[in-house]
Amino acid sequence: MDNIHTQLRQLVAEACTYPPESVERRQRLNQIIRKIMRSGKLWREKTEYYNDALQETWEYCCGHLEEYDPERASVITWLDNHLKKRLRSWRDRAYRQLNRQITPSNTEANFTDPIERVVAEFDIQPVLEIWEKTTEWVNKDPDHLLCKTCFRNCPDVNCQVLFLRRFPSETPWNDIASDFDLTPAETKDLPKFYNRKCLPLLREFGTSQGYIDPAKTRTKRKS
Amino acid sequence: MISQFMQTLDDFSIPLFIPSQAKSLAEQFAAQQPTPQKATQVYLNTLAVCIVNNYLRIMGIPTNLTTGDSWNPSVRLYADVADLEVVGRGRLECRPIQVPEDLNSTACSVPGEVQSDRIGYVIVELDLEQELATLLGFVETANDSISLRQLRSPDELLEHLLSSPQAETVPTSVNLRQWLQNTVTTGWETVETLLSPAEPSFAVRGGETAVIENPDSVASVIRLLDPDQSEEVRAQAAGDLGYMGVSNSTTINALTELLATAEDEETRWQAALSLGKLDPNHPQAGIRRVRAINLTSKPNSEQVALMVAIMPKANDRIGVWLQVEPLGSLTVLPGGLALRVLSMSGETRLQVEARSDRQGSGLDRTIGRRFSPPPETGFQVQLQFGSTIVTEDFLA
Repeated sequence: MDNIHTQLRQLVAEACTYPPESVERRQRLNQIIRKIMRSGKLWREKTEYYNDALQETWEYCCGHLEEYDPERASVITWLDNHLKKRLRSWRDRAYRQLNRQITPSNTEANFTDPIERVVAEFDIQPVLEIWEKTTEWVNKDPDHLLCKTCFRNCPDVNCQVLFLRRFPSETPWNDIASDFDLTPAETKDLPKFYNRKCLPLLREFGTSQGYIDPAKTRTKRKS
Repeated sequence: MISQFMQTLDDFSIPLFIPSQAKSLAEQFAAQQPTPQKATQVYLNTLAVCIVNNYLRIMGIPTNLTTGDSWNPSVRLYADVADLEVVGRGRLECRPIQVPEDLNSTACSVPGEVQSDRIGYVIVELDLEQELATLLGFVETANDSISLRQLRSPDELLEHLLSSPQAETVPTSVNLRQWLQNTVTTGWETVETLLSPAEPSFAVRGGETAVIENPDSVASVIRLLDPDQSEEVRAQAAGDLGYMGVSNSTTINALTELLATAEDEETRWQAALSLGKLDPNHPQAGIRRVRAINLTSKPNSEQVALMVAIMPKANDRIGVWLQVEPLGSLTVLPGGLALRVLSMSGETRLQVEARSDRQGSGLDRTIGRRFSPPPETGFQVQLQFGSTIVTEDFLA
């Protein structure tokens, strides 16, 4: 019977016969990941960044199957070598960060990696701001945009009313529909209306507040 | 321990570990929620989105993690949403189920607000204790719950995401109302781009043609809008005003007044579309777009243009005008070419077919229909010629 190493070697060779963008190559990748994960044969260690290093290893190796040389190692050894390399660089990064915390100034790392520092400074304050600002906007509806956006021809069933029913407590859609005596067809369409008409308004609000791009939030917090 | 657990997995599911980066993002998003229930929901949703994103990264399929509603802190509060944009395809919903909590359940519930506008639903089983996430499979459409027995494999998910050519698949309905805000769906072109600009192609044809003594003179065309002119003349003049392209208060006022007073449908359409050309942001402005449709799958197939025009109407409704025109070497529409409007459930609501003479030559230069669907209604427009059927979904 073929052992797992032979099977994996064959799968990689087979995958390489298909172009990188093809469905067929990616379906072989599915098989490779499944087999390796279930075999439990991959290098394992108990570190908090192990899963991150493994994700990077999958991304790299699945994108560079042609680099695998069956003459030199088994597929699992090839992956293990990459994984250990990634683990080393995660370890170094964690070590650097630790050093920075001990000696907060005068290290080169302070200047080379400013983003990491800002992320570490993330605190609870902007979090409350998002929640408060959004609920305030929904309650006040300053441009009457929310109460003017109505479901079908029912002025009672508008975006503002629906928002208030769905947050903070998530009133079930069927309850909302029966409160407004909607027909079964309307009941079915109500969440669709919410998705297509109400959520885009919130989306726009969120974007206008600059919440979306995490990079933007970081720059704001730096100043 | 872990390999033991994995042996119990279905044959096709894909196991992946949950990276610490995904966990800290999920914690961060969950911390923005006011109640423990909502926090748990956001935590699990964020993990599911991150895991599917990680999987697609491994597969080399481009995604836009930060453009989804699941990444928008405001939307996240008001919707139970776990969407991930797959570039060029649409939004994939990533629904989490938790072990051991949901271990014996055979279905995954789907919130109402995410049951529309998705290209598929991927179910991710999360085992937080083992830090293990398993892609169980997917379905293309969902109701209130997805039975785990009906899941299709990740291999099929890849086919679903990759094999159909992007140009032919419009993942969601064309939202016509957005056209009125000048956000036109990709693939729909202006009449001038597709048809030769010299030809006022969609202006009224047949019947009496107005004689304009001095075609450059806007004032003389405006005079033809008078109520004492015949409706054909008024409609033609309204259309010509748009083609002449002179946008000032005189022309805008003339068209607005025409819209307020004229009762003839054709005149009103021409006025609204001309207004759209001269002042696209006018609240009464109409808009018209066309798309070329191949009549056969052969490389040099004959083509027709499908025109879709819309104009604002009372009670939040929009008027829709569909018309088919010959393109390229065609001068008339081939006999038998059918234009249909269907409900989303597939019932034919309107239908018109191009006629032909005894020799089989086409008799109609255009076919078309006008209607005014209630707001929020979806409908399908279908063009059929022999075995070729082209269907487009629209949302009014």
